[in-house]
Amino acid sequence: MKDIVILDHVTKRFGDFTAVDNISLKVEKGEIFGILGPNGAGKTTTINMILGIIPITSGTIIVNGINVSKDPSKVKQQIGFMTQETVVDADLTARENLEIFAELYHIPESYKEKAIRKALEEAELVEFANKKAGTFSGGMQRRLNLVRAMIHEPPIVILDEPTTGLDVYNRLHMWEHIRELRKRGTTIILTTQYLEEADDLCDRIAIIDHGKIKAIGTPSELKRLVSEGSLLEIIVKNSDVEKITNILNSLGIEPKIENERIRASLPHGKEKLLSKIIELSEKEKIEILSIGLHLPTLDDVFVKLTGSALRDSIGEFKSNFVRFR
Amino acid sequence: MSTIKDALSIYKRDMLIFKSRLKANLIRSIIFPLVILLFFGNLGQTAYQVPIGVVNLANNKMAFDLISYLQSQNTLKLQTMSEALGFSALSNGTIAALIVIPPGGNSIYIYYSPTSSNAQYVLPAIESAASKFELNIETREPTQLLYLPQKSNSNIFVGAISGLEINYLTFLIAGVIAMVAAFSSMMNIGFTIISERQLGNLKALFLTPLSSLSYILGKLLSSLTQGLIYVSLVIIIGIPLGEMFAMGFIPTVLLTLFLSSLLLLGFSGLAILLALRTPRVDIYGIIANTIVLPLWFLSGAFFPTSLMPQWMQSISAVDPLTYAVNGIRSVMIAGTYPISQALIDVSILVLFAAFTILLAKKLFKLNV
Repeated sequence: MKDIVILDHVTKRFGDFTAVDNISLKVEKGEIFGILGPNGAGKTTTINMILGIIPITSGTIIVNGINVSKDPSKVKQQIGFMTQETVVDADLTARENLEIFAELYHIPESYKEKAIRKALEEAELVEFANKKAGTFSGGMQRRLNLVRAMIHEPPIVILDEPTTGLDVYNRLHMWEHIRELRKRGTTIILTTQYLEEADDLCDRIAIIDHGKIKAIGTPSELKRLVSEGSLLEIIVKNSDVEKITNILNSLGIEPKIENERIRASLPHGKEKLLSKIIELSEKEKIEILSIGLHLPTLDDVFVKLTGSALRDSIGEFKSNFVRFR
Repeated sequence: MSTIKDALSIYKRDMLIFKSRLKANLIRSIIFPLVILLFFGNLGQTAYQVPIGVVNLANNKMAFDLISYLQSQNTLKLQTMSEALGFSALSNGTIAALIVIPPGGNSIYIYYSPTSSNAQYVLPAIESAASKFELNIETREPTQLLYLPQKSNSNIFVGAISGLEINYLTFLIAGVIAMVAAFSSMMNIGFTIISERQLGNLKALFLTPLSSLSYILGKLLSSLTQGLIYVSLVIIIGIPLGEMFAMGFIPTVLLTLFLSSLLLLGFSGLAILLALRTPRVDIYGIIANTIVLPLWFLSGAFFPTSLMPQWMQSISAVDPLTYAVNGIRSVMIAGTYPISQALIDVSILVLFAAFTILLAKKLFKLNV
């Protein structure tokens, strides 16, 4: 079985608000699959449906051959999930935290102690095993959170913004952990707000906005959606915008203008035009403040597909409102 | 099978959390009852109290209400006693008057010594109490004994401890126990569930194959355990304050804990039901207080329900707390818990618990 998680025309409505609109996607076994989207795009709702903790309005979700709507408790054994917020029982020790979850995941009594020890080692918390989790630093709590969510060694792990709020050390530790998991054959689905993280870690990415899938593919496939070649970005004084636009037009380039920032995509093989632009600008006495050529990043993909930057506070407000209504 | 196992894991988790905050939990739980007992219970303590005796041969609701009412009078210091002890106490002047409540009838008999000035002082109070209950009064001097109990009735008194002082404080303790049971379940479990949801712990638990039934059972069990610890504390606090164990120490404590358990289960069910549907702690606090405070005041925790206006009495009759308070008071003070009354109290409390718990299960909503 190649596809371990299958979403087939899945829709979720809260009242008359459609949070997830007819999404279909397949996650392959053993890959790291990223879900990107602005806040309120439907990422969390999608994940909650895969986890079986909110009912699906219509469509089917199959996890490792199990229909989520029909057998939610069996699906839960298949998935380890770490929420966006770090969630540990602050009044319990690290060991007690792990013990309760080992029991709730029905880990056999004979293996329980071993599973707990292994988790403590993985989280580098062996010497803090009997300290209350509430006294831990953010990074320690996060690591405990991760190993607790995976104490039953599930074939699929879902991480909701796993590195948000972590310092550099803990972020790198988390990335390493995620790669380590994949090496062991675990399938990983993650959402993130860091595009470089998605670019670095993910084998494939789905970009979601307004409850719909905008694009799905490998990072390089997605980047090719923006431009086959490179992206040109020029910043000049406001008064010079028209002149430089004329130059670009004369070279057969169609720019997009945002105030004094001019962007355009250069098809593959036309990178040499950069020097020509500089040359012509000097002739016209245009003062160039900045000029550059770069390969498209996921940022560019994201802006192109969703028309917004990743952080969108209005979207956040809306999603909370819907949730608590 | 796994339902029970999961419930025990939830129970274990809650109890570990409870244990880790043990000191704060215990201190918080005794402040309220302690303040109420010390302040309310001692309100009438400085007033001059006239000792009177009560011989209760009726052991029915009327008798109980009358005694409760007299206990709430701060000018009277009530002692229950056997008839033999009563008459001897009256003749040697230990008590100013003796009230005899005969079985069944709608009369009471008041015996007093005409030489006692105190008797003249308390008679109007007793008469007004009796008229409240629409009882006929026959006052007699000790030499004119109208009613002498038959031998067969004497065994009603087997469990009664005579000569114990009953004052308002002892009257209050049953009410405070019921209050602690109701409040601890409403507040502890409710606030825990809401903060667990806000912190994400609730979602984390339900990411495991945990069923809502297991979760509810685990929560009920931990709320029951914690509530019983709090109730036991009140019983212990009550001892130096003049708490009574009219049925004997062990039966009194066991029956009190049993009645408290039913109350704890009922209110815990209600708390789960409300907490899972209330988004915020502050709103939950308002709702919980709006429900529990009136129920508590209407239950007769502070004063006999018979003193309330009719409309309040009708509400009181459907208030589960009323039955718990009545039951605990019968056990603690009257020393007898007639089977007919026990059946009513227990079945109402069981119904209340079953209703709230089943509704909590039916309306369970994760709301993550």
